[in-house]
Amino acid sequence: MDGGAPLPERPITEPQLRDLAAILHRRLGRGMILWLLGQVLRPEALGPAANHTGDAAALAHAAVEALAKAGQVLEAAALLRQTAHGNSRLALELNRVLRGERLDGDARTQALLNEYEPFFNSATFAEWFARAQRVVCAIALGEPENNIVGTGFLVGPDLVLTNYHVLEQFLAPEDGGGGPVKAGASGDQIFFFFDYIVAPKPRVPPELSGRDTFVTAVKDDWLVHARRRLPNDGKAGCAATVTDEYDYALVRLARKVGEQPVRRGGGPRRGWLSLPEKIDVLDSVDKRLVVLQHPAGAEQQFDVGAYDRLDASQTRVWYALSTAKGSSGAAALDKEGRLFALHNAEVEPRPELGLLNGKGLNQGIRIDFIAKDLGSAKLQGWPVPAFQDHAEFWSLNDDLANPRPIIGRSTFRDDLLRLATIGSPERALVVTGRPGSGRRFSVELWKRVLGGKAACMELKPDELSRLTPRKFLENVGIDFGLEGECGPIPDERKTEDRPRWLTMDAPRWLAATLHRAARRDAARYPAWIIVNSVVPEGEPLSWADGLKELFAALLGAADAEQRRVDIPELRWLFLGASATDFPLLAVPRVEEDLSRASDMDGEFVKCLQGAYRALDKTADIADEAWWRAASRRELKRAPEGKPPRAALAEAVRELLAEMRSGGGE
Amino acid sequence: MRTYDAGLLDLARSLLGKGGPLESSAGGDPIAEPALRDALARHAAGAAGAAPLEAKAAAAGAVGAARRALGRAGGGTGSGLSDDEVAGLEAIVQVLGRPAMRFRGGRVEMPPNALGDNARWQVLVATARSRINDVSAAVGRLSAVLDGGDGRAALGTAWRLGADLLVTNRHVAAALVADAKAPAAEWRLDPARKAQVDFAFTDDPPPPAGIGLAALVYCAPEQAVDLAVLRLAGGGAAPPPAAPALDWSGESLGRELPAAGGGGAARFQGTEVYVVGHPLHLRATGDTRSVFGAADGRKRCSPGFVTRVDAALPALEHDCSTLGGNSGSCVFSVDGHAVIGLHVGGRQADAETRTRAEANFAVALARLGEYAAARVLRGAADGAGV
Repeated sequence: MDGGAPLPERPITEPQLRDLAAILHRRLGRGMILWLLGQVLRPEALGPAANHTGDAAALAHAAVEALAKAGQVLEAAALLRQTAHGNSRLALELNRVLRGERLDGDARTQALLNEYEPFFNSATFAEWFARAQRVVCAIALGEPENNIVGTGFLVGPDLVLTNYHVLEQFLAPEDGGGGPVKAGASGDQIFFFFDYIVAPKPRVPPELSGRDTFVTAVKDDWLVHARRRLPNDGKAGCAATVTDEYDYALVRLARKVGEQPVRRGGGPRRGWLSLPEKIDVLDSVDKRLVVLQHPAGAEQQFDVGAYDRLDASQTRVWYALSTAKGSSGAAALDKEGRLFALHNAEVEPRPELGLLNGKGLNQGIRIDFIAKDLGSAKLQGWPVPAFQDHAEFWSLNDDLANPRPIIGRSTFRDDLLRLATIGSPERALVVTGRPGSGRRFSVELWKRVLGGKAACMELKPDELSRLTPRKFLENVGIDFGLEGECGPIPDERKTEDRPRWLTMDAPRWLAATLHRAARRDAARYPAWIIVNSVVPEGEPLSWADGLKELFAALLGAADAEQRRVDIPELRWLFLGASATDFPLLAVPRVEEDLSRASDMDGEFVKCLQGAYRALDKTADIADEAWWRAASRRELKRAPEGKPPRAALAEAVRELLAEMRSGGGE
Repeated sequence: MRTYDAGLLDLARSLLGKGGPLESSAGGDPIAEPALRDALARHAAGAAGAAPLEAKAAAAGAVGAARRALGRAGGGTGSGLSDDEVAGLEAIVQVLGRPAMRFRGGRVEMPPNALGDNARWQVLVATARSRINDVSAAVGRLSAVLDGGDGRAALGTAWRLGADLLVTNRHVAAALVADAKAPAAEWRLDPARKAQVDFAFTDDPPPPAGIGLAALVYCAPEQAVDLAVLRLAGGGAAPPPAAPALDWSGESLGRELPAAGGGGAARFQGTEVYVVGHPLHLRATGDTRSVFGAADGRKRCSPGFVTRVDAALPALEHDCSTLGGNSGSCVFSVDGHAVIGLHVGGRQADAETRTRAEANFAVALARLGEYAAARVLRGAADGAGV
């Protein structure tokens, strides 16, 4: 599996393109639209989109037009799904449009949004939802079924949890049914489809070359542990006493997909969900749940509903939300993204049960019972440690044929992530250094790490010299996608008011605007302003009149009367020759001087490791000392004047090309 | 080749086994008898307009006949099924997974229940309703305008192609030409026979007047390609709906899977499709009425599978529920909502001869290859003209 979802080849209709443009305009703003285009299209393919500097709506339409012309609409949508899932409204709208539904603002759309709103407003939603979607998979069986039969999800790097009855055809019948459950067929005929977010449906059995992206179970000993299903489960006549009929199967995959990055260029790994030893069922009545599922073998869906009660055996939880055949094995999660149940059945409709919120009841096995059962089975390697993602991008893009390797810059990346939280005490990151040290590369790196997630605006040296403060504020609105939402920028009424306007009126206006926007769309904030003041050596850097003063105020500097405006939703990245170039007096900040020495050999090995894994290797590259020595050799033979990071990046490109052609095996 | 009855038995048996509360798509318990009877009775009451007791009796009769057939046939070929048994099996197949869904309020309706394969189509409608609605808008009822202009006599179904064209069957177009016995290349519309297409002939209130026809621009001469292309008359009150995309890929039909274990014959794995057309009881029989209820020629969406691709002919077979008025219907792929075929005819019994075809069949775009019809369709779709 290559980690990226196969992109379906199907026509995109004109109405869909119009809706996509509306989504880009409404949810991204100019800054992120430009980021998206930069990621997906070559500069020459931008067409008219490259010339839209003012109107974000026109830019969005031009962007979609350019993407459609280049046949890259689905590529762009996939990238947004991978990077911007934290923006849940964007995710919801994107999925709807790609499924062919219109964003026509009808009552159904509104009802859907109202129903999901409590989830979207959850403080942690953005963090867990993207990961949960990545770990859920459709499960298919080969002969004689040759079809998608259910759903599952990762609970370890190479472990998928699903229902016993999903795999029952591939399990060995036991005399009397009392002994341990055993595998009854080869694991290489069980297929797991991750990232199946949009149609078309994968074919089963999948073709080794072609559109289908999958991983199989290990051929032998694929069944780690399982418990039988309960006779009459979900029916009125179901037993009230359960011994260990928890209807689950834990399957080992042929590859540790949970440890692999979702994107070829590295970055966040797929991860897995942890099984809690305890869930709170007493205080859970009417608790909101979400079930991520592949109903009827369709692309991944989710529905939100409410917990209702325990069944008579106390081992099943009943909830009211929509599922269907094929949803078995789905993950039922609570509002904080914690596993609550393993979905397994519909509760057979009976008059006395009625409907809850207009929906029938469905049921899942309590996940704490499964966790305890697995714990008592004394399985090797169980429990699996909770997922911790320390993975980094090794390339600025996902193109293995033409990668842009990133050598080091771990400090910068860590700083970015730290400042990207609303509670960060520092609001500014300052990167300085000599020419060729990688200051401008920092902009690309910012886009790789935070692009597609956070609203952003990039200012280049010529813009610093010509943008009036008012024009700057107007552009903030356009670039952050706030058109139509921010009130009018306050006027400077008299000349003598200008200092007050710069230090109080304008910052207060922006603070209020960003505060409102962040309440509506928390995932995109803090937003970033990137101030790139890197000019060729010897050229002076000039600032437009009043811009520096405005920046100082926006950064939290106090005015003459010691008044200051706090904007916790705003972050700054300054790139230049020296921190003194910027209005940072008394501003809490993080500084990085790229002129200082760093462990270049270690950074080279780390990048190479990322590239190696992108080729679907899960092991580490052997003999780090040898590769460190190779790094030193590369630096020695690099032409004079070539920046060391650029030389090592070139070496990674060459080595990757060799590995791809088989030379590195 | 399997007989129609054997296929019907297999499908009914498969659908009846997709019950129980567990939510895996594989296997499952038998569908509970009360739920089955209830669904059949609702179908009889709703679609066929039977009174409650009559509907219950019809449901019991259908279940009984089907059980007799399944019990007797076992795993056999199903030869020698009685008309009652076929009707019972067909009713069960439609109610459990081959529905003919109506359009109301401009939207395709959900299948009537979640039994059998209907769960699959419910998810399809829930996730792709807008796409289905959009492409179905391009399908219309072709009818002859009766003397005086007030009446309409249904001829079949047609769908949009290119800027101003329609696709239907040659055997449908035959009713509009001056001399249907002449070679197809010489066919011309008979000016005395007025005809029109209604794209909005659904369960919604009466639509504005249909669009007339200007000319017959192409008629395939080959027996195996039952296809004709008509040109719409201009000057209508509203522009005709947009034409759907055409899918020429062989992948859109399905694929051959190697035999399990490497031995035996390859098996065909067909894709999910839906037929949009205007089914009508041209001559209602007991069994067609039990399956379709009031098949009044209004637009329906019938989901199912491609079941076979003919090795020698440009044809596919499918198991979607269709009737006589479906001639000329559009076969859409579920994956891309593009046209993959032109429905030609089906398995419904002829009321007079009591004979029936072995399967529903359609012209398969992907199999048209070098036939002139392929060039015509491609040219029209690309705007290059016919």
